[in-house]
Amino acid sequence: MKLLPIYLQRRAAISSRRAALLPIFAIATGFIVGAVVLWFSGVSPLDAYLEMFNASFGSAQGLTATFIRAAPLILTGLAVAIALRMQLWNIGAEGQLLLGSAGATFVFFTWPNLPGPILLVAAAVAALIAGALWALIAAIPRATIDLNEIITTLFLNYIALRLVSFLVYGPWQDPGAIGFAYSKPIPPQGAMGTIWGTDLTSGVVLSIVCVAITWWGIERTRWGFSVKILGGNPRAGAYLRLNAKRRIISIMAISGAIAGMAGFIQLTAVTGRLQPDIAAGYGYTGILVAFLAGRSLLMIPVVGIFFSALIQGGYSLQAQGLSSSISTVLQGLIVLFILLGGVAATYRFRWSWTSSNSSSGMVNLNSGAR
Amino acid sequence: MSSSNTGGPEEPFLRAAGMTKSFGSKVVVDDVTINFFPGKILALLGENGAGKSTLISMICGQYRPDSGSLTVHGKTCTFRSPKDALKAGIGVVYQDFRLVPPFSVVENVVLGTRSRPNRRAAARIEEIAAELGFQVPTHALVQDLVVGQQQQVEIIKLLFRGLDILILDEPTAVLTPQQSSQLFTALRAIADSGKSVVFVSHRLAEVVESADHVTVLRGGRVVADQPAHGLNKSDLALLMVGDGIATTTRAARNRPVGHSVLRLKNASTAGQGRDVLNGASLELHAGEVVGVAGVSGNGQRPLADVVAGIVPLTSGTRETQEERIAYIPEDRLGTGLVGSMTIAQNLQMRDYRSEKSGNPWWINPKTLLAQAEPLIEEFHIPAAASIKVSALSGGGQQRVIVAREVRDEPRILVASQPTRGLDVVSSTAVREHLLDIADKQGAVLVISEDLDELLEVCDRILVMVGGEVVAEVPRKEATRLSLGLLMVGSPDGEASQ
Ligand SMILES: Nc1ncnc2c1ncn2[C@@H]1O[C@H](COP(=O)(O)OP(=O)(O)OP(=O)(O)O)[C@@H](O)[C@H]1O
Ligand SMILES: [Mg+2]
Repeated sequence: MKLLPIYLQRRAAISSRRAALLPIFAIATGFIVGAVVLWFSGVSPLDAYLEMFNASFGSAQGLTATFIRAAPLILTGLAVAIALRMQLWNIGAEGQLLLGSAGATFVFFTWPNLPGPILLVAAAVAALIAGALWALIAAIPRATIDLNEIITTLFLNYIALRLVSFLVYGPWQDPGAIGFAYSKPIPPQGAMGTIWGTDLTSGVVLSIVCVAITWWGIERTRWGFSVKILGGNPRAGAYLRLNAKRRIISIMAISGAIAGMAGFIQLTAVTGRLQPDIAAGYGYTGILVAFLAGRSLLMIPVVGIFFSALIQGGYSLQAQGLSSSISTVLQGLIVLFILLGGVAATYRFRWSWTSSNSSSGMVNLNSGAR
Repeated sequence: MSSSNTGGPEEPFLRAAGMTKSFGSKVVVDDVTINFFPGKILALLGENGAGKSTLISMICGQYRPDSGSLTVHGKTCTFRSPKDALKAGIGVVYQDFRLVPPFSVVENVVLGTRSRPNRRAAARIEEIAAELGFQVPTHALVQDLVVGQQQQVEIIKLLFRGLDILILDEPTAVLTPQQSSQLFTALRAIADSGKSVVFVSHRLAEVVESADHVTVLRGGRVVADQPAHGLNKSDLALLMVGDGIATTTRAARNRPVGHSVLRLKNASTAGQGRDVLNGASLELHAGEVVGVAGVSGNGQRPLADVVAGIVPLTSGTRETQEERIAYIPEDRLGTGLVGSMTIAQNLQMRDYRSEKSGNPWWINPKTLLAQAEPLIEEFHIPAAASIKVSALSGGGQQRVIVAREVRDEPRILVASQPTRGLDVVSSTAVREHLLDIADKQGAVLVISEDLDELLEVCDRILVMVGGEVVAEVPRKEATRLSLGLLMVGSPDGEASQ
């Protein structure tokens, strides 16, 4: 008995073109289903999407805002993606970002009179180091006693938040605003803005440079080669006598440093002060960015800017009396369709009314002799 | 789908006509027509990459043919999934078994049928097992069974469903000679009950012994389709490769045996069960090929790991001065290769750290590809350097490992099942490589379930039982029989030492 004239046929292999089309398909489907949601909220989907597009790409301010938000998303996405190359889940980009901004703040408050460029470089280095050290707290137990890094990196986020709260209410508090959740401001020469009068922010440029350097490190160095071996098949790594412990530590340190860099950018380009909400959930959205970018590091900037535009556009809907959470809904839908698409891509959909001699036309996904 | 046993070969159970399949621009199976007759055992032969597994995948609904038609019991069928094929009475035993390890035998067998894992099912399973001479404890967990028994469970699973076409892809690659002959006895019993049996094998001796009919593929086309009667091993080899390439290894030379290069004394490894080392001792000398025989699961795998230096000892000692130790592991895709990386990258995995790869820090993808080319040529790897290793056939993957491990004339080579899944020509080539290394004063340790292979290449053969080396036989005194007896721990074997 057949219920539907559709059946699935497992494919021999997924072509690379098909794999590349998957995110586009997922995004399109996400927007279509999102349109239904908007329709039911009493808003014209077309108008809403146009508004979102205008707000994120349509004007100079919109573009700048999109780029400002893209920078931390690109970096946290990169941090998650690089750890995934070793099959490590860094859920702690949020905390590493916080520590990175605290490290940079420390430099700003300790040497406030240094000239701008030197001060910025020193603060960036401090952010890298602080992020890396924070990640190492999870990486070392993972490498030595195999303690699950998902749990440790996650918990370290909460500790990082407490630590930053302590700093802004304690030693670094703003004497002019006692009791407020932010530190005193960083020195004026420590602020970063847009580049040469364009809409490009220095943060987004810096983050893309980070992606390029990381890509190059993975694809073109011996260290990266060994990471690919260990990530692709850990048993082959043991067989080739590669030192997995050292690679776990180095990859997590780099991952943490990248997230710390996001903290530096947030501090110097956005907030100008250390504050507990400086991470604003970017560490978690970064997981989605890494996921959507798939296996390609070079796709991360594209996805980061896209997600940023989505968030930026979401805020603009508030002007129409809608909740900005529509962008969260869209993000969720897109990720959901990527997941579904990943399964669907290995199958071929076919239409046929001719009944097979089987009792059902649907294929069990675990079909075969299993 | 009743199994009418007319005995006559005139009406095939299954006819696959004009089957064609391409991957990208490469035609892998090209207009193949093949018939499965009731009561017959058909052997499907061909070199590595000839398209055997792909053809089977199309017949059992795993892949969809680009063109061609399937007729089962006179009816034209289109299979959309292996499930459809099962319903039409076609079942496959894959080389990597598809069992659920923490489930019991009964549970595994009834899984996917309407039966429940109850006493009736268990009784039926025991009945099937008894007919075939299998000994499988129905309530044991599959993970506790040895490989041979797991395969028996797979076969029982198909018969339990009342299938009448059984296809086995390289069933004997993982079996010992004893287990193999037991399997063929069972397959004959299955065929005699009116079913159709098809198997793929690279071991020509068993094909000559057991098959009624052979179909040979070469480059995706049928080049021979004839009764097995009157064919011998060299006829088959010739059909497969198409011309008179040497398929027997040259007689081992009398090499001077050099100094000791590695010594293992009372070595033990951690772990549970029988497959650990338990006080094993051995010594390897330069210019010597040493074989290890044994029923699988008696410590051969940890022995290989220990000699290769990738697993630590819990007690005992391992002494060696040699740095250049190469290792062809038993589990090629699981241990020896990274499926997601390219052939070129896999070939370079040992050397990318050494000075040979150019400079000490960077890797140039162009250099990597260029370095792979001569190896692909020399070792007949059937794909381009930039292809992912996971897309290679089983034999192709084995060639990549062998190429990487033997190219630099290692001082010690540990080769575990080095010719498993390789066709005759490639097997011969691999054995030649082993002998070459010994000729150049390297020490070679060969672990194999193929006793003929050990007898062909080794200077002396060690026998392992229960994680220990229990006997050592010089090649001149070793026979299949004496080794077989030693492997099962028989005192008769001991006497022949
Ligand atoms: N999914 C795939 N994508 C691309 N090429 C493939 C794929 N599967 C198989 N091939 C290629 O098709 C050819 C035939 O493969 P197949 O596995 O059928 O060979 P085989 O005869 O079973 O060989 P072996 O004896 O080594 O198992 C090989 O060259 C293989 O590289
Ligand atoms: Mg095959």
